[in-house]
Amino acid sequence: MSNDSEVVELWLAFKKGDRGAFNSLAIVFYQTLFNYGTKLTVDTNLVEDCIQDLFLDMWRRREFLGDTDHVKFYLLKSLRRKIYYEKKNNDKWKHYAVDAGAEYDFVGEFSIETKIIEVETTELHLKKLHQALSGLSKRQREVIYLKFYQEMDYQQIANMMSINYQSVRNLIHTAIKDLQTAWLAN
Amino acid sequence: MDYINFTAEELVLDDYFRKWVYGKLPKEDAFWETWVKNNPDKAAMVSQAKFVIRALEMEHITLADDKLEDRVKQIVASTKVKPLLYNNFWKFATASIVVLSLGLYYFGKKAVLSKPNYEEMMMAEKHPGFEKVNNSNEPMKIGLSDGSVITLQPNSKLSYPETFAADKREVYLSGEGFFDIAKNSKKPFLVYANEVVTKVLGTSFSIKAYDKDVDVVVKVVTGKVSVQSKKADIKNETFNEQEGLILYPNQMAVFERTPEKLRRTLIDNPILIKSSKKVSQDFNFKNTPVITAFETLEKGYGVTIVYDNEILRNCSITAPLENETLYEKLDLICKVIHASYEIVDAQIVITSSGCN
Repeated sequence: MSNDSEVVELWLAFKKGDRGAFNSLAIVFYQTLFNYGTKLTVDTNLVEDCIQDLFLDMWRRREFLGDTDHVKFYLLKSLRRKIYYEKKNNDKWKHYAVDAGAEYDFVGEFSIETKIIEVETTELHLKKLHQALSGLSKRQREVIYLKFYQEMDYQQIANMMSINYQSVRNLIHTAIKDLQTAWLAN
Repeated sequence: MDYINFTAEELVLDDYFRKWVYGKLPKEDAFWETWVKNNPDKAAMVSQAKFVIRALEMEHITLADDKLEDRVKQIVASTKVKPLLYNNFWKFATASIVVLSLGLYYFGKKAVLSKPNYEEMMMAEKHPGFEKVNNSNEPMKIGLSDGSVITLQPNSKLSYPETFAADKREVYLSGEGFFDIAKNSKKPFLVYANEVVTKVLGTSFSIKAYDKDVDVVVKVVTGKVSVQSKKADIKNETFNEQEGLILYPNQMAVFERTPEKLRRTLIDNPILIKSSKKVSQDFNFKNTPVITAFETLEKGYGVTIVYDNEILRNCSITAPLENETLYEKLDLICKVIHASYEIVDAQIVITSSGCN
């Protein structure tokens, strides 16, 4: 990925109507957005449509967009909102009740849940580890994802998920503590 | 940064440390290897932190580069015109419409005032949105965000709202154009061309219309289309398929302006429908019962031929008819079996006294 100052430059040029800069922004961020989107829904077509929609929106509203230093944050947050909006719309037609936790429908999975990865570990250890991971809520998973893979700070994560700063810290802290306990079982 | 007083948790949360665990640091960066070597007392802590990070590794779907390029191209292309479909959410196969002109001059000027024309419809439209006018001598391509492409012929105009209504996509046409429409069953695509409203129902079709012509003509190439005449004074009239005509491939609707009448017929030169390439070989008739020959024609051109089974029972035909048009084929067959045909409501009706 391009460094931050390059991105900010692209952003400013794009806002002035530079189509090339817009194109570059799409290239720089498409994979990142796709990655996050596929953590929010298993419907990859929906993700791609939402990303396209997001960029179109940006292009059309470019004059009204702020001068942000946090382009990635802006994009990820907008994508999250779009996907939830579309999912909500789709779910309206389904008969089952949408549970209250639907705001945090994080579908990303830890590799270890789906395949064996290289963790130096014993049988018991692995069992403990699975226990610890399966105990993680969707919110915890999303916080971990945003922190570990999108390298966001606590404030950004809080803003993104509409929860408070302290909650973000607590969610991460308890997740790591649980896993540390699993390690100690070794 | 001095990591000496870091806890395992702080290491887990450190971007630089995680990059090392993921193996994403450049080869020449040996900071962590050195650090671990120099701090043997931290070995357990490092191993715990590594364990937690590995345990929290996530599955990722990676898009192939060429797919990514395609997507980005799509995004950039869709910004080149004002998007028609604000919520480009559904992906559908494209459907085609052709709007053409019969080229007949219309001189009843008084009637012009009362008919629903483009200018009037534009004035009635609360949110006129965008208008593209083709004043050049070349066809003009207009791309829409939903994947639709409209080829506007010279001296033609196309208008569309900035954002479509939630339940339909409506555009206005004056003149002539070819429509390649992205199909969306939730948002039918409606073309208002003077007195005629055309609605995309299926995969592909074609239309005909001009301001000064005697007729407005809608032609179907493939697929299924619904056509309805539009009353001058009713702008918000809902599309009523019962009142309109459903058109299939090789059929066309003609709206006659004086007197106002919408009728259905076959196009001038019906073409073989796409899905039946194989069928063309079957037109080499060798002592073929004429009923079988008609059935082959029906399949090949997607038309309906009406005849009396009983009367044609003894008729057969021998003729290689691969290269003739549908009408030439019919002429030849009818000559052989002493029959005649006419087109009634887009059907071919055969009149014959039989063969003996």
